[in-house]
Parts: sequence; C-alpha cells; structure tokens
Amino acid sequence: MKYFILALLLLFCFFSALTSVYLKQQSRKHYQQLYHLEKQQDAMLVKWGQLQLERSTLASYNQVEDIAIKKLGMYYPLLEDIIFTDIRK
Amino acid sequence: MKKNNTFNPVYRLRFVYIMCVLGLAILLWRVFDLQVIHPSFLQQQGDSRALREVKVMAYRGIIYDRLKNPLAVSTPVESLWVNPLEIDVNNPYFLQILKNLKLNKKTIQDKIQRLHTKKSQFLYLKRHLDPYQVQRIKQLALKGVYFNKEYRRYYPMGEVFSHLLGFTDIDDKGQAGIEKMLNSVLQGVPGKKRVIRNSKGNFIELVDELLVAQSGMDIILTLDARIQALAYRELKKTMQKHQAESGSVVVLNTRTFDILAMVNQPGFNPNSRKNLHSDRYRNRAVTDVFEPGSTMKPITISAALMTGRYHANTMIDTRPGFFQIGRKRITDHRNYGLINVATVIQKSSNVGTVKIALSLRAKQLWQQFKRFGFSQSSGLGFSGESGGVLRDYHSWKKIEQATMAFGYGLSVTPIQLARAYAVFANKGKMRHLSFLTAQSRAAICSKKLLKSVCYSTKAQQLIPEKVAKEMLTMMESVVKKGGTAHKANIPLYRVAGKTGTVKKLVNGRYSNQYIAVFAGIAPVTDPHLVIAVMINKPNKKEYYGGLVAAPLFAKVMEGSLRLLNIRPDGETYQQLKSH
Repeated sequence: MKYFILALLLLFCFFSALTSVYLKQQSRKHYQQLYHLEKQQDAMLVKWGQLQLERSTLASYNQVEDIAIKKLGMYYPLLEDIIFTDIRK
Repeated sequence: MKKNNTFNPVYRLRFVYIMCVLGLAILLWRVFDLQVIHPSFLQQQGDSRALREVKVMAYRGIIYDRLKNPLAVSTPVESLWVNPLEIDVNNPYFLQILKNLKLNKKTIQDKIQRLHTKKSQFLYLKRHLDPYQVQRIKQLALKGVYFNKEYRRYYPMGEVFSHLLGFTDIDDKGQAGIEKMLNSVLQGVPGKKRVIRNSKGNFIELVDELLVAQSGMDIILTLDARIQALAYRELKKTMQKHQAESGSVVVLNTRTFDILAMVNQPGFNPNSRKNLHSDRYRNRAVTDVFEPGSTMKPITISAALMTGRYHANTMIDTRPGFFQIGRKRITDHRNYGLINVATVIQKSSNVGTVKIALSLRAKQLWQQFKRFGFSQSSGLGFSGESGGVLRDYHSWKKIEQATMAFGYGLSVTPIQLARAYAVFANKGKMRHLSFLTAQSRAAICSKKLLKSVCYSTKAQQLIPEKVAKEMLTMMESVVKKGGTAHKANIPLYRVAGKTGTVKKLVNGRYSNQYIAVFAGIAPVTDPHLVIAVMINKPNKKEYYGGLVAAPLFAKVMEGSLRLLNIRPDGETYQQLKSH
C-alpha cells in the first residue's frame, strides 16, 4: 500500500511537470500572438496617423470650398436663391 | 587455435553495461551540477542573454474639437540606438547607415569610442525615423543596433490650430499651448515589463508585468474646426491685403462663454518644427495686450447708463468738436454738434464720451472696467497669459480718466475684449471662459488631474439686463448707415458692434502706426456669437478699424452663423420671408 501511494504521487508529480511545461509553452505562444498583434496595432496606428494627415490636406475646408467653386462651378447661395420655410408651423 | 576463445561474450556485454551506467552517472552528475551546485551562475548568464526589462510607453491622449475631429494625435515611431560595447564602428553597413541618415561619421565614431571606454551601453543615433528607413536598417540585422518605440505627435489641421494647441518636444512632453497646460492630463503613465527575448530581438515570453502603462486621457475642446479654419483663412487674407504685422480673431459663444475659434497670425507649422521662433508660436489672443481705443466706449457708456442719470436719448453737447483738459486737447473727426448718447456711440465721438466719463466718479468708471474683466486674467490658464493693465483709480488724474474712457492708458487682450462684449450679448451676465467641454472638464476634475479647469460656470449678473439691451441697440447703429462700420454688416442678420482705430504707443510716444480693432455681436434679436478682431500695424493707406477689422469680422461672423445653423433675424430676411 505504501508503495502504491508513492507510485501514485510520483505519477502525479510527473504529470504536473508535463502540464507545467505544456502551459509554459502555451503562455509563450499566446504572448507571441499578443506581441504580433501589438506590432500590427502599431503599424495600423502609424497608417491611421498618415491617413489623418492626408485627409486633412485633401479634405481641408479650404480645399473642399476651392474644388466646389472652381471645379464644380458651385457658389454660395445668393439672397434671391434662398427660400425660407418655418419649421415651427 | 580458436580466436573466439580469448573473447568471452559475457564480459563484452558486461563491459557495455558498465560503460552505459558510467555514462549515465556522468550525465546525472552534470545535471546535479547544473541544477543544484551552480544554478544561480547559469541562470544569470541565461537571463542576461534573454531577459529584458522594457519600458512601455504610455499613449498620449488625443485632442479633439467639438465635432470629434482629431487635432493632435500621437503615432508610434521608432528611434535608432546602438550599444557602444557591441557595435563595430568600421562595419561598412554601419557606415552606410550613418551616411543615409546624414550623420557625421567622425563625430559618431568618436562618441561611440568615448562611451565604449566608459562602459556605457546606450547611444541614440537618430530619433523618430521614417518607417521606411526602419525597415531597411532592420533588414541588415547589424550587431549592436537596436530600435525602441516612441511616440510622435501629429497635428492634422496644421497651422490652423497651431497657437492654441502648441506642440510637444521630442519626448512627447507639452511645450506650449494646450499641450503644455494639459500635459499632466494627456501624458499618461509609462509602464514596465520583464520579457524574454529571442536571438532575433523579438519578445517571446512575458515574465512579469512590473507596472501597467496607463494611457493619457483624450480631451474634447469646445472649438469648432470649421469656424477655426474659416477664421484663420480670413485673418490670413486680411493680413496679406493690409501687410499687417500680426493679428488675432476670437469667436465666442455668448451663452456658454465657450471659445469656438481662436486664431493668430503669424502662424507656424506644428508638424515641422524648424525655424520655430516665439514670435510665431505665441498665442497672441491671450498674451498680447493693446490699448483698446474706441472699443472701450460701450463699457464707459454702460457705466453712465447704470447711474440712471443717462439714457440713450440724453443730449450731449460735443461742440466745437474738441475738448480741452489742461494742455491736452481731445478731438473728434468733425464737429458733431448736439447729439444724443446713442449717436456718441454711433459716430464714436471722443468729446461726447469724455464729457460723459468726467461726469462720473473715477471709482465708478474703474469699477465698471474691473467688472467687465479688464486687468483680470481670462482664467483659461495658458502660460504667458497677460491680464492687461488697469491702474487703480486713486492714482488717476483728470486727463487719464478722460483718455481711459475711450480706451487709452489701459490695455487688454483680444480674449478679454471678446469676453466683455459677450456680457452685453448675454443679458448682462458673465460666465467663466472655457475651451474644454463640460464633459472633459468633469473627467479631469473627477480624477483630480488639474485643478485650474475645475471652475464653476455659473452666470454672474454684472450689469442690469435693461442696460445690456440698450447698449446692444446703440451698437447696432454703428454698423448701420451713418455708423463707423457699415462694412461689418451681413445680410440676413442683425449685427451690433464697435470699431476701434488705435494709435500705437511706441517707446512712450504715440506714433503714426495703428491697431485696427472690431468687436461685434450677432444676431441682435437673440445673440449667439461674439467676435473680436485685432489687426496690428496695417499699412498706412487703410488702417481704420471700420475698413480693416470690420470686413474681416463680417466674413467670419457670416460663415459662423451659417455653419451653426442660426436663425436669421435681419431686415432682408423679413422681406424675403414675406414674399
């Protein structure tokens, strides 16, 4: 009986060692994933920053106005173009 | 003779067996040696090769405008550093890197040599590299060359918000403007973690999170990027047209006292910090004081109205067009004759204003200036902010009381002027100025990050509502026919305002250089916006506030009212509607 318990404990010990190795491996794997995702996130943030700058130059209010007036032939409504409606009625 | 006899297979087997046991014993001993006798030494050796403590940079908060347009954004960049103990300074690839980064070969080599002898392990070669350069250097996989992650600030709106936002230094710390003032809120707390690194320099295991990095707080400003852009463009145009030296425009919501736009010229590009000079990045709307000139008259007149002795129709004798005080003579453009108080404002009569002001006690006038917030900081908390100058009334002489009544002998900032006019617009009530939304302020205050933004926004009645209304009507006549600023008129809306053309004080003498000022309110029926315009030193052909500042006011006001969908109230509108 004594030997049986000893053997059982040894077995447990062995399995616990294996699980610990396995879990360590898993943790590294997951961390690597996280690390790569973080890198991806950084790259996306860089891209986002660049796109923000790009957007602000291409779609700046002055630029939009310029294109609207010069290319599309739009203009600010003249007084006689404006029709007033009263939404409160 | 049998050869086989001399070699007994039993011995052979036994020999192999003993060798195996011996081999195993040696291995076991080695294991015992590594694991029990010398573990610390080996652990250390291993750790020093693979274990790293790395700083985790905190992400700096984003600054948004009220429409959630990002105005200041941090994006990750990489900085190149070398370990002087590991690097080979004569490696041709390394020399190529130096050449591509435009670094001086000799100075870098000397520096590395010096640090090498000092056993120092760190030297930045170049910070904030382009992602493209990083890619190419990483491919070389040189020994002793490393990168670390940092943040760099970008300002998508560029110079339009440059003065207000300020900028950060290379370590992403605020150096001017809002970036500096709210640095503690924006910056966050950097973290620290212990990781295991493989031979390629990639992190493969997180051992310990020593300190979790905390990102900075995002903040939302009350400013409107559309109005800001509009004001900036129009100011720039006006500056060029009149070859002025500098200028500011402030747009204020008169109900909440929220700043909707604050622009200055000359400006700078915050994304490229070359040639940065304090002349260019000063936020003049809060730092630069000027004598307000005639824009002070409505405040003087309101003091007179508050005594109850004057009304809009009280007659004032401005004949013969000048007024003598001791040796000084105060003059009008021409002799306006016998006019009422409203006309004094409409025509901007110095003589009329002085006569009214001298009938008041010095204390009454002083109190009124004080009440409207002159000589008191705007409370916004910008560094370098000026409160302006207003001397105590005990030391006033008669001539000073007279000149102060029309805005000479005291100084104000554009933001103070806008705030004072907002009182007329807001039924005589003043609030604390804000550039942060209530939501952002509450978030900052609940975390106790910055005390200076935890103020009450409760309105304070400064002058009776009746007086404020009366002043509005008087100031409306200024932009009408016969007033000094009909160019401040905009179709569809009723506008009230006051011009100022101020002789500039240079070395204690009034020169022939001018400041053109205009402060105005619209729509008069139910005021929503105040705009203060200040143009410093327009060229000598045209320098009147009514000709330089008023048209700029009209452009910005018209655009802002349209952008904010504010109901028209002007005569033109009434006519058009009835058709």
